[in-house]
Formats: sequence, structure tokens, C-alpha cells
Amino acid sequence: MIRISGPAALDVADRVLRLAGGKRLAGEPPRTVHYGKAIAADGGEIDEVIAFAFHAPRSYTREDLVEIQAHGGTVVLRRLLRAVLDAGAALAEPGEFTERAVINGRLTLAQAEAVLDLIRAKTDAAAAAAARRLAGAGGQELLAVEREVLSMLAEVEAGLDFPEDVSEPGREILRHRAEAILTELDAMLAAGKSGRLLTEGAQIAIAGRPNVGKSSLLNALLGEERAIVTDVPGTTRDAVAEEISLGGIPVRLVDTAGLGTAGDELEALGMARTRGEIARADLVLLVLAGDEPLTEGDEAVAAEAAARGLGVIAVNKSDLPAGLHGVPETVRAWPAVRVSARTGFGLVELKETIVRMLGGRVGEGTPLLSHLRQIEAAQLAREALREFAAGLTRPQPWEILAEDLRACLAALGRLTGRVVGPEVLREIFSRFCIGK
Amino acid sequence: MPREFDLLVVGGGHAGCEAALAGARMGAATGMILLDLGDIAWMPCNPSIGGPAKGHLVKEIDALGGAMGRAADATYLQLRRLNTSKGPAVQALRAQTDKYAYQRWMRAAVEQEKHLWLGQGEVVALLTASGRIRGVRLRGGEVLGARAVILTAGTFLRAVVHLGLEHHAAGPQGRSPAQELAESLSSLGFALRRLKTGTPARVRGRSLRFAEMTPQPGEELEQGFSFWEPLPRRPQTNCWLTYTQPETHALIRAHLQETALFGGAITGVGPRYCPSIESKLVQFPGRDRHQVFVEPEAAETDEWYLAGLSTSLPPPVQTEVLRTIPGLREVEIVRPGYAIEYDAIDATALRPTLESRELPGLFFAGQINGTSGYEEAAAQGLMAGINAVLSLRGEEPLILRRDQAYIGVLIDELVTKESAEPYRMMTARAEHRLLLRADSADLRLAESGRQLGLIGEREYEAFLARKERLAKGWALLSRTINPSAAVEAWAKAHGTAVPTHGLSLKELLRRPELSLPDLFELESGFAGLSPAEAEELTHEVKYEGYIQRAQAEAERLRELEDRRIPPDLDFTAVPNLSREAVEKLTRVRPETLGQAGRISGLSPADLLAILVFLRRG
Repeated sequence: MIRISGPAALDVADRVLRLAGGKRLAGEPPRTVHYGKAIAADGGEIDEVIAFAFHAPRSYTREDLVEIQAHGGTVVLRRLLRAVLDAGAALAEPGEFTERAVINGRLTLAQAEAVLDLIRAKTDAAAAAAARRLAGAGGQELLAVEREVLSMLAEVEAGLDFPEDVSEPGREILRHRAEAILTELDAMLAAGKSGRLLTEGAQIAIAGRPNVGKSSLLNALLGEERAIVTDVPGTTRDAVAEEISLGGIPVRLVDTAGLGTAGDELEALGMARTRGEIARADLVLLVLAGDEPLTEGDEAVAAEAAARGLGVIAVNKSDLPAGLHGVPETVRAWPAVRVSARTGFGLVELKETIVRMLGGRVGEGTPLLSHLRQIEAAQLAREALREFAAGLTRPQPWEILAEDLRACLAALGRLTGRVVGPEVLREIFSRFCIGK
Repeated sequence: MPREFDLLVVGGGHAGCEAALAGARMGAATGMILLDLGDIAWMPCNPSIGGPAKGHLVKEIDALGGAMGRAADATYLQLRRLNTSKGPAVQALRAQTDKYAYQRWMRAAVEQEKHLWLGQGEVVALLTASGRIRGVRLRGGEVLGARAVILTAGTFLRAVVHLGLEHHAAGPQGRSPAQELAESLSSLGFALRRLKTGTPARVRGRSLRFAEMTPQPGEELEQGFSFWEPLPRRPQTNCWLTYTQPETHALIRAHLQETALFGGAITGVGPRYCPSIESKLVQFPGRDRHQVFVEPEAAETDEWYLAGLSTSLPPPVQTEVLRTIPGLREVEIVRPGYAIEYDAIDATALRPTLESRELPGLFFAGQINGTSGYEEAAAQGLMAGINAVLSLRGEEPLILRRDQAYIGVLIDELVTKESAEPYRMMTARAEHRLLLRADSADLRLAESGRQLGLIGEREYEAFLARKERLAKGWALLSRTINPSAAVEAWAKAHGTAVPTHGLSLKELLRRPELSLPDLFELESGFAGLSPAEAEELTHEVKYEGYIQRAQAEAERLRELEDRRIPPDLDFTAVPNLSREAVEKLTRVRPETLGQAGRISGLSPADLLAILVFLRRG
């Protein structure tokens, strides 16, 4: 369940939700249940959801509050959270809901104390985790980034407070330095994306033209019959999703309708959804029929899937006489595994390949940014630094550039757990000769 | 029958003058006692007032009805606007004042104040009764009774002057130190700490070769520090810039062990932003030169100040060192530079009103609180004076917020954070810097000044008129300008894109190339604005997004700032607080949750624990 609290809670929820009948949560009576769909920022559908609204002051936090429940597992919840954040919400700090509840006079003391114990345990664990993380190689990189931003801020601040002792920093040099840090942050965030897949789960779209055995393969991977399987092409009209664990990674497998020539209107709708699922997936599992030569349909699906970048090819029906020669040009770089959904042949290898591909971008060691909160902080730092770099050329006055660097450091501080106020002064005085 | 006051101010420096003037103007029977009446508003270091953050403080003091801004405007020798290209919030005025004219101006202000008694004497003991301050005893036995006392002892408490390795008990420039007052404070339980500062040599102008130095002229400006008086035109004097040489550095290094600082004579902690030249050489060995500003001290003397050359070298060596510097080859020293050590209290023992927590009625302001600078001292003096009177009347104190004034930042940090060195105001300390423009100080504070009775009727009328003009100007900015031949001609003349559809004046003003005076032709209603007001509106528009963000942030934090912690709260009784948190909270005794949050080492969980506990009571 995702909870949104604050004066804009209903608006944020309405940006994410498409309620049945075109209703808006803001216009509905409080404490009523609403069914609908959650939509990601890119317009893609996340899942079916149920939403409740509580109006201030009759809520846990005494503010407007919305609860959105999805029936999916962690993967769906994470995506839902992302969508809510994209719609303008901010992640709550640990204990923030409780704090708001206390501040707004909602919680009794006994309740608050109980919650407090939980928060303390949680934040202590988080602090310990942060310390462990920072001790690693990635942590050193992060601290180096922070040091560099701090050093730039000290330069700017020294120029502002001691204009007669310190000359203005060079804009061009600072821009180069900022861009070097941006490159590092980009790399951390890229690695962070894979790290997030490991801790928060991945979404895999199973794609292929009709009747290559996508549903059978899904069932084989699940180990049980779930999706409806018939020999009639195009039986799977809707995306069917199941969550499994592959090598410790929570994976949400989405069986898509076959991408082919739409036979009827319903099928056309299903295909539009399939494209959406492919676009949203972290990895595409492209299924080809091993007993038939490539068709135009295969090429079309492959072209669609190739745009996703990361994928694995399953050559299904490998228990039948081989009829397939080669794979579509667009996905030639993807690993291909011969499997048979019917006999179970090759499934272990397929799973291993998928895990390898998902984790393959993680690289050595533990990724630095593995949780949404950390990624968000790193993104904030990056945005502020981009503002700074752009402002240097615009040119923004130094006091605004300082604001950007201050924002960047505050965001980095959420990753490193450090407060930078006194550090800036120390840096100024140790580097610049100031005074009468 | 001893003399009785509502408020007695001990000391007559920059803190003392503001405290006494504020107290008297608020109607309290006020007295001011100092060691030497000739030293009222004395500037024992350089006669410079303002600069980034410090200039902001002066404008805030002025907006509240304090005296420093008017005094500086009336007595400047040179004015400069600093940081003009770096943004409106960090722009600052800096004045070289005539140090004697400044003292005369302030002495006249003090002497002309109706409710203000003035006297010379040394306070040797603080008198208490029933756990409150009751008055002071002077050398010679006289007793002055007072319901509130403000101590502004500056750098005089147990002061020791170091000239090279020699030292003797003395205040600034050899004045008498205050020994017994320090002992009296100790015996009342105040912890004292040792701080250090210093000053360069003063030299004779006729021995300087100005041709070898670069002139630093002043600027003709429209507005000075004061919001209330027009800036008088005064002839301006140049300052001069020169640099130390490799020979200078070699000579200082050769004599390093003879300085008080490196010879081991000094134990006090000096400020990082005001290091002696010997500290600069040690700290920045790679620098081959340091700048020296040669500044006039007053129109009526030929004494000059050497900014950048604070030193505790033995006086004979000082002459030798100075003579290695261009422009100073034949220099004659009239007063040698020296280092001074003095006692200061730990200001975390004070409430945000600057009143002692342990001894009600006793307030502290200025360098005795561990700050440096005339402006920092004056700001505290003003606030101590205001709050002493408010507390005598049993009224709510005036505590300025960090998003409201640099004064708020200054006092909050003084009473919350333990600082090892003398504290100097810097804009870097203000997290809400964009909201604290010097030029908007009156908009932020004049209402408070008026309510206190420190802003007169005439000034207040002028302030209201200014606010009205700004509001009208702001309203005019939403007017839409539609494309027309006239608008096209205007756009071309001002080098901006020709509007192709209706645009508000505000949208036009957002364009980087335009400022408000450019829009006068489009809207004649702007013509009534002063240049400063036009600038004000320009900033408001161009920075609207940043200002709104800053305001939202300040608003978010205010919840914590408004949540008060009772003064008698026993932190050991709060469940879930770490021992370190209890120890720090008990020492600093924050008055709000916001202040508690700024104590170093306290976590959000600690704050939540207090919050939860407070709800039980």
C-alpha cells in the first residue's frame, strides 16, 4: 500500500489514478472505496488498484490522506511509488508520517511511543547500513563527489563573503569540474538502476508473435498452469502477470498478447497494451518458434523489443524438428537459449541467462545506490548540479549558483549522512587567506 | 540612597550604545556606565563598517530603529558597494568611517537622549538579590541599583596585551582592563573562556609613499545604511592597496619565535577570518604575497591603518617588516600592532533574548559573548536592550527568526552552538540568504521597530508610503501588454524580442536583458518608484521562483521553530533520548524544537522523542 499525506494528496493521487467511470478522487466523498488503474508518468498502465481518500482532519496524519492498494507484489508497488513521486509527491522521511500525526495532534502518546521505537530501530539500522556502504569502494567515490561539490561551494561562498580578499572563481573551470562530477553521478545512477533491480525487483515482458508459446513458457517458468493456453493463436488477449523469484531477484513476468496482425478490435487493444508492457519492462524475453522459419511477425516483434535494449531470446519448441535458421537482425546481440516449454528442456539455462543479463550491468561489488530513496537523493543532487552548470554559462549570479550547490550538497548529505554547514566554513578558511 | 535604574548598561562600545539608546527610547530609566567617557563608540581596530553580512546587520539594526547606520552615514570617509554583480542578496555596503567623528556623533546621540543617564566608572561587582540581578558596585564603593543589567564589556575582561613576547594587563590600545568584573562573573558561576584577537600597526601618513600604491577610490552613492535619513554628501578619501614582498615574509619568518602567537605566550583562540600576518605565512606558505589595504583613520589625524597586517611581532621588528613593502619604505609607526587576550562567557548559557538563564535580569551583548566585529556587537546590544525592557514590562520577547534577519541567525547560533573562536557574521551562515537582502531589511523589521517605539512617526509614515508604492508597482506588473507598433518600437529600442502575443509586464521583466526602468515607457505608473524600489521589484520578479522556494522551505521549518520547549524540562525524563543528547540539551537548553535541531549531534529521532514527550505534558 502507498500512502500520500498532505494538502496536495488528492491532486497527486488523481494524477496517478484513472478511476472507473472517469471519477476523480477529489470529487468523491471521503472514506469511500474506488476501483481504477494506476498510470505511470509515461502513460503506461501499472496495475489495477483500489484507492481510499481520508479528508483532513479525519485521517491518521490529520491531513488529507490517500491510500492506494495494488494487488501486485513489490515490483508493482515500487512502480506505483515511482508514479506517485513523478506526480509531485516526495518520499517521506523515516517517521515523517508519525511526526505529522503527532504534530497535528492525531496520535495518542502510547501509539507514538510505539512508533518511535520502530523508527529508532529503523533509522539506526539505516545509519549502520549507510556507514557500511560508505566504507566500500563506491562509498569512497560518493565521498569524493561530496568533497568536490563542497570545495566548489567553498570557493563560491568565499568570493561572496570576502570579495576583497578572494577573487571570483572562474566560471569555465567550475563548469568543467561540475561536468566531471555529473559524469560520475550519471555512472552511479546507471549502476544504481541495476542495483535497484536486484533489491526492488525487475519486470520482464514476454513478447513474440502469436502462437510461439509465450503462455506455455510463462507457465513453465512459473512451474504451474496459470495463463490460458490453447492452440488457437491469439488466445492471450491481455497481459497476464506473475511474480517469481529468479536467482534471488524478484521478477514480475508479464505475458503479453501476441504482436501480429490484429484480427479484431479486441486484439488490437491487447497489442497496444503489449507495446506498453515492452516499453516498461527492464528486460524483454523474446520468444521464437524453433520449428518454423522466421516470419514477418517475428521481425516486427523483434524490432519492437529491440528498442528496449536489454533482452534474451528463447527459441521455444526445441523438442520439435528444427525449422528456424538465425534470429532477427535487430536482436542479433541478445543471447539466445534453446528451450522447450512442453518438456522443460533449457529452462534452467534460460533462467540463468536472464539473471545474468539483469545483474550483468551491476558490475563488481555492491551497487551504491540500491534503494529508491537513495536514487532519488542522487537524482536531486544531479539536477541541482545541472542547474549549477547551466547557470554558469547563462550566466546566473553567484548567489543563485551557491543555492544550487547548497541544494546539491543537501541531497548528497542524505546519502552520506553528513551535515555540511560547518564544513563549508572550515573549507573556506583553510583554502583562502582572508582577513585584516 | 543609591541611584536606581530600570536598566543599566555596563560598557559604552557599539553594543553598549545601541542597548542604552534602545532602552531609553523605549521609555525605561536607563543608565550607561563605562571606564572612560572618551571611549564611547570607539573603534579600536579599523574604522570600517559593513561589508557582506555585516552590512546586512547594520541595515537591520537601522530598520529596527538602532543608531549604527545613521552614525556611519553621517561620518563616512569612503563608501563602496561590494558584490554588485553577484546578486542582490549578497550586495553589501561598506563604509570607511572617520573614527573620531563617529565617536562624537554617537556621544551626542547618547547625551541628547532624554531618559539616559551617563557616567564614568569601573564596575567591580555584580549585585544580586533573591536570585535576580540587583545592580552593580563601582570602584570607590558607589552602588548603582538596576532591575536589569546589560554587560557589554567587549575585550576588556582580564585583558592582556602582547607586544612580541612581552605582555601586560591592559585593554585595547593600552586602556585599563576590567579585572574584578571578571572575578565577579566567575564567582556567580559563569564559565569564562579565553579568546584572542589582534590589530596591526598605525602609521603616520606623511611617511607613506602613495605613488607606489594603487588608489582604491570610493563611490558616489544614492543611499547609505539608513532607511530613514538621506545620505549626506561628504568628500571621500582614497584607500590604498599594496602587497607584502618575499623579503617581508623572510623577515617575519626569521622572527616568528618572537611573536606572541608562535613564541608560546598566547593560549586564547583567535579568529580564522582575521589571522595575523604571521599566521597567514604559516597557514599559506605557498603564497608569495598578501594584500595590504592602507586606510585613513580620520580626517583630522594623519594616522593610517594597515589592513591585512595584524601582528604580534616585537615593535622594533614591526618597523623593519613594514619597510619591505612598497609605499611603506620609510614608514613611521605611531602605534605598534599587538595581540590581545580576553575573557568571554559561553553564550550557550544565554536565552535567545541574551538574558542569562541562571541569573535573571542579567543580559550580555557584544564581544563578551564571543563575537567579533562592531556590527555583530551593535546588533546584540540592540536586541539585549529591547528584550531587557520587554522583560521588565512582562511582555513577550522579540526573537527574530533565522528566515527573518541576520540578527536572528547571529543570536540563534550564539546561544545554540559552542564556538571555539570569535564569531563573525557571514552570509554563508544564512540558509535563507535569498530572503535576507540588505535592501529589504525595513520590509522585514520596521513594523517591529515601530511597535517597540524605536521608529518615529515621520519615519513610519515614509515606510508605509514606500510599502504602498511597492505594492502598487507589484500590482501594475500583472497588466498585459498587447502587440502594437509602439510596443514593437519599444522592444527594438531595448534589444529584446518583439512580443507576438499579449504578455504581462511581469513576463517581460523576467527576460534577463530587461529591468524595471526599461518598462517605464510601457507603464507610466512605475515613474513614482525610487531607483531602489525599481530594483527591489526587479529582484522580486526575476527571483520569484527562488524566493518562493526559499519561503516554502522556511515555512516548512517554522512548525519546529514554533514548538516551544518549557525552560524547566528535565531531559533525563524524556524516554528514548541518547545520553549525549540529554547532556547537550541540558547544557544548551533550547527554547524551541527548531533550536534543538541545530545543536550538533542531535538526530531527528531525538527531536521526535522530545516532541512525543511534550505531548504528554
